[in-house]
Amino acid sequence: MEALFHVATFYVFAAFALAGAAISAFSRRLVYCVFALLLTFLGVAGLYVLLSADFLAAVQVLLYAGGILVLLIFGVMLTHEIADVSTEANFTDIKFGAVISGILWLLLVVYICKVPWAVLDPLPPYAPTTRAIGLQFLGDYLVPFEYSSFVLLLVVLGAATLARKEVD
Amino acid sequence: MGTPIPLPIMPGDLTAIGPLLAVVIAAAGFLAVDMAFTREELKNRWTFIIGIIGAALAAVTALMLDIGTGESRLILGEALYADLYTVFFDLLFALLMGASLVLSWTAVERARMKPVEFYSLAAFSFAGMFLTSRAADLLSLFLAIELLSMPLYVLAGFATTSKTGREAALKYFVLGSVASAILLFGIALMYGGTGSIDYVELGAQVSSGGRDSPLVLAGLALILAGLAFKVGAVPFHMWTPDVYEGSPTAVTALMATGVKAAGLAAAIRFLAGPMAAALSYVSVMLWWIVALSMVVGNAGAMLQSNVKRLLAYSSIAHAGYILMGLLGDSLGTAAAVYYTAVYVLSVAGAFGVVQYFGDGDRELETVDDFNGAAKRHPWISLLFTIFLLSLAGIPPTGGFVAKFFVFGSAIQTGHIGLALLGVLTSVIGIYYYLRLVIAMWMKDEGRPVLAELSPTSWVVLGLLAASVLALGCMPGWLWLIVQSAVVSLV
Amino acid sequence: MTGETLLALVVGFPLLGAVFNGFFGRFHGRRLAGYLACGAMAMAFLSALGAVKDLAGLDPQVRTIHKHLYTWIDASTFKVDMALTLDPLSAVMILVVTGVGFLIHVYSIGYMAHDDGRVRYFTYLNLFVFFMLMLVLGSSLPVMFLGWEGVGLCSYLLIGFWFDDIAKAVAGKKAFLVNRIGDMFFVLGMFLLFWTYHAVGSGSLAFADMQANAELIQAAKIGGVAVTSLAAFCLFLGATGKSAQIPLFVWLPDAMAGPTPVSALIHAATMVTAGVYMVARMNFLFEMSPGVMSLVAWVGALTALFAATIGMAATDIKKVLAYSTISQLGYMFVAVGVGSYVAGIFHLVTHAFFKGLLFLGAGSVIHGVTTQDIRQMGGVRHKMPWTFWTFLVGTWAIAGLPPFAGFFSKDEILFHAYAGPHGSVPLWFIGYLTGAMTAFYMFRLFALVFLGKTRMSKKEYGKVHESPATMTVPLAILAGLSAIGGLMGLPHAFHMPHLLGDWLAPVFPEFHVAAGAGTELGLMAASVAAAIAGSLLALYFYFKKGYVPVPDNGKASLPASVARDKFYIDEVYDGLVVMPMKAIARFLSATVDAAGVDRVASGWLPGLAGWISKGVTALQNGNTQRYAMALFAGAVALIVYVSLFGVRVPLA
Repeated sequence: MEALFHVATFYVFAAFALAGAAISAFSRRLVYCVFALLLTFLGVAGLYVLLSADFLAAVQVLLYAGGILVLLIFGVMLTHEIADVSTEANFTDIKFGAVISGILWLLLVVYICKVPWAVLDPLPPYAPTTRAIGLQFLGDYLVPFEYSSFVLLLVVLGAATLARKEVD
Repeated sequence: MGTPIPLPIMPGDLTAIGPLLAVVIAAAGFLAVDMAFTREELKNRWTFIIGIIGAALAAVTALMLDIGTGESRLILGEALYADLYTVFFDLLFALLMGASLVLSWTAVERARMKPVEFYSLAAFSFAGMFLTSRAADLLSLFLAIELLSMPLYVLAGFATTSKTGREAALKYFVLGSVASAILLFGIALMYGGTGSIDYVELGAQVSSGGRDSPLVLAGLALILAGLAFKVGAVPFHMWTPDVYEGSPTAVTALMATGVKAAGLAAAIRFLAGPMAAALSYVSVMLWWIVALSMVVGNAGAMLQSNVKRLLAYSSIAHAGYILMGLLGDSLGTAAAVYYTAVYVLSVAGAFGVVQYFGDGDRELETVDDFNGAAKRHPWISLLFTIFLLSLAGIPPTGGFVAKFFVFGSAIQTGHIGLALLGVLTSVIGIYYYLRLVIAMWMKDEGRPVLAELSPTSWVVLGLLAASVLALGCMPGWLWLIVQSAVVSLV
Repeated sequence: MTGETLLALVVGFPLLGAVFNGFFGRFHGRRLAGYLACGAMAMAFLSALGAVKDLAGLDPQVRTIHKHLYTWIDASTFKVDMALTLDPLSAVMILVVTGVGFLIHVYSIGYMAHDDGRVRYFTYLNLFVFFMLMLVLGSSLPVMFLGWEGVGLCSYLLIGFWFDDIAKAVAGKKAFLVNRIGDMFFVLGMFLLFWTYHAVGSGSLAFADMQANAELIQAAKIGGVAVTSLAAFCLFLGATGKSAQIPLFVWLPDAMAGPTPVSALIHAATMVTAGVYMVARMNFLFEMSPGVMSLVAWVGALTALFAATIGMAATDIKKVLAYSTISQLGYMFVAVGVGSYVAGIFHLVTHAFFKGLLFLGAGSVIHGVTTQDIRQMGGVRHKMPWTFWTFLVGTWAIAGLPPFAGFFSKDEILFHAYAGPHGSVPLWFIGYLTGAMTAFYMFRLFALVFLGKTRMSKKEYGKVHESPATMTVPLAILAGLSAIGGLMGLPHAFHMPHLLGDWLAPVFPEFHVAAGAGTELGLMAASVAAAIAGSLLALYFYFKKGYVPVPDNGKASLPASVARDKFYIDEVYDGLVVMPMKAIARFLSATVDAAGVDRVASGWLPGLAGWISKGVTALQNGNTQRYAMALFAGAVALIVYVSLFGVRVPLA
């Protein structure tokens, strides 16, 4: 019973994520695209919960659904002319793209069905993961961790540079 | 709370990442300079000083690494390598950083960029480059690629004066993101197939049957695609002509030298290291990438009249020649590394020269703009000719020896057809490089203007030309170094 | 000084001259540049003499001097030493290159006296000599290739020397591109040899090592074809480019756009003979592939004949000489093709003397007359006595009339083409016919330029003057050499030593001729008769009768006096010789030049590239979505590939 519930929840969240992604990819209005992302973020956060990754789920909701999305929405709202029809996204080569995506999708399906996946250990009990993550960051993944901070610093710097240019 | 966990830092590790630290400190220094001074003049002076010190420090610390018996060492929680290969590329990148500081300065100012801003962003890119050659797991690799690319996304659109510049920046950003996504997807598949992102672990798995897993192979293919984008190999090359043309020349120079070399450093390390056992399974794929790059690059360059586009297409072709080395045995890998070094030196020189030609805000754009350059500026035309001859692969320049090594190794391992195609396409290459030489030496009517070169620029350009010639006349010493560097990859 | 040091100096002096003039020429001025260049050449020549003297002192069996400069490429299994090797063959070559080169340098001082680009000119000229010396002294194929490329580059720079003229720049480009096609085959041949030798465990491309291991690769095959034949074929195609043979001869007539001393040095005496030298140097390889050998001989013979016929109709003084050069080079290929390397090198040397002389003479004429059209000359003899007499010697020599140099060398080739083990009667006959034609067109040229009444206007004729001593002295020296040069290779029928043959004997395989002295003397008499007939015929038409070739389009007006009474002979000549040859020439220039080379150079190579380029640019429309799509498609293609084939088809 519990397993069935587990599977059902998984599909619900996955559907959320997929639907959001599809809307943001295919909608012609930027505002819809952005709002649809909310669905995706929440869906993914749900999936994290299902995988007992509490910290990740929280970060996902706080940062992506909370912070980044709000930023995006503000960005879209504040940019003038955004409501105009002229900013509609155009598609080129949609047939060709469909064929390629179709091929990739087929391949993925084949892989997922055929590949002998390394079977996961039974899910760990739901417990705080923050400590483990912290230890990993300062242990095995010290270099990537430090480097990510670098990337973030750079992004801030780059954004500032580009934005200030506009003001000049 | 529980027992404190010791940081995975061993004595000597800091020396091993010395070049990285030097560049990072330089980056911080640039930011500090920007804040500390208000007068443009002081800012510029200190930017230059800090940059040169950073580059020199990177080179010195790279040389201080104790290589030991030549085996590679894993440092910092097995995230990074420290061996002769990293030293080799550290020196190359340090040299590029110095060259960029000296040679691109004029072009940076011409594009209405502030040097301090340009170099503080560029320093982050260099920090990424220094990481590519030493990444020992796929996460570090991905971060390195991101870190080296992102500053360039910004810098490409820095000179907002031109519409093409903005378009190029946006294009580079969007396509670069797609490539990053592909790379990331490949890493995910690889992880799915092996349960690890460590090079050592990956290598062990792949050589013991892991290569038969389609997930691993698909992952390998996608990682290859992501890296091929950075390197500009067909069919992932389409951004190069537009972006090279649209970006400020100082940024284009960085893309053509640093980004390409870094992509190659990562690709060679990954393919000749952990993936060596699987390489024979994807060699037909690599064969096509190489063949198409040579054909498309050279054919595309042939009819270009815009110099930057011409160099962009030719850089596609060079990516093909370099990757050809990976089809051979360990000598082929060494040839690829050698070719990379020669290519970087020649292109750095060529772009260094191009950046000085121009009038006020305007740069020389077309081949015809160089008409009569030799008559008015014989010395710099001579240097330019040396770099072009090296790119064309004419003896006694390094380009010839590099091509000789690469083609030789391809023939040795039975890829005669590919070597033949290489020889054929390089004849086309000579044709279009020669157009520039002809324009400079054999046409008279033009009046190209040259910006003033500082003595330092002359020294740097002269050194680059001398090293290009030296690599052609006495390639022995570097060849030996490269060979032992490659040994440490496996 | 030891021979090794001298050897390094031979190469070093011209390089030094080029570097010095190139870098400091702007400061020390144009006048000094010429003297510096000549000084460098004189020193090189003296060093060459010294080195050859040392060489001659060695025992014939071990007669080589080896100078190892440094290790150029060391790729563990593959090593190339930057080394110079002096053996009897390269000794002959360096003496010709530095000796004739020195004379032409001296001549250039006078010829280029009024040109602003003298510094550049002498820099290129010295650089050329340096590369040419590397070519002949290089101890391995890669070093030879370095020189091979270098002389091509210098030749290209010198052809386009007067670059103000678009046509001349184009001519330079054409020369360069055609040569590149040849060079590509050279590289291919080199790689093939490297690969084959490497497979049998010898990664060295040094001539000595290759020769020593030649038997090891004899059995190697690619697709059923012997690698030795394939490599020899590729190398020979490379030679046809550099030495202007069918099918890659088209660049040489155009190359006459350069200054005349350049034509003398590069396009007559030295560079164009590099192909012959290379075949002689690689004789052990060619000996292993008799098919390619006979191809070499036949290509040479046909080129000789074909170029001679065009030469009979050409009206530009330098073009006549250019076609004559192609034709004489054909003789040399006939010689090496039938295995008579000594005769080939002998003719190479004598040709360097008399063709250098003829070109310099032509330069002197052009210098005085200021036109290159022989229909507008005539009577120059009275104004330019030195040039006249020396030119006569050159004409005499090339026509194969005894006792001058050309007679001996050409007769040796013809004799060996007839009686040698690889020779045949048709091969000899083509050479024989060409000999008669050579005498005809050379005396035609001579008569039209120097003899008879002038066809210039009085004012023009009045301005014609003899050239300065810097030009006439080299002419006199070369005339002397053309006169007596034949003594170094007297026919065996005379029972005198063949000096050159004895000197070169250690380098080449033995060459036996079955036929006796009677045959040799008979053939000699026949070819002298033919040469005399050709010369007299030419003198009769163009001197006695005073005919002048028709203008190019048959309409342009020439002085009425020259147009009289020439219908009959012109028609015969036209119908029997010129028309068929023009047809062949047209065919060749249509297929080889236009369709082949020009197309390759400016037609289908760019066409193909343009086609690809169009494909590339059609995709390259600047649309980011499309780029992203292509990126994505490429990635998917890679996955598809590994999914379908990756696992099942492991390569190697």
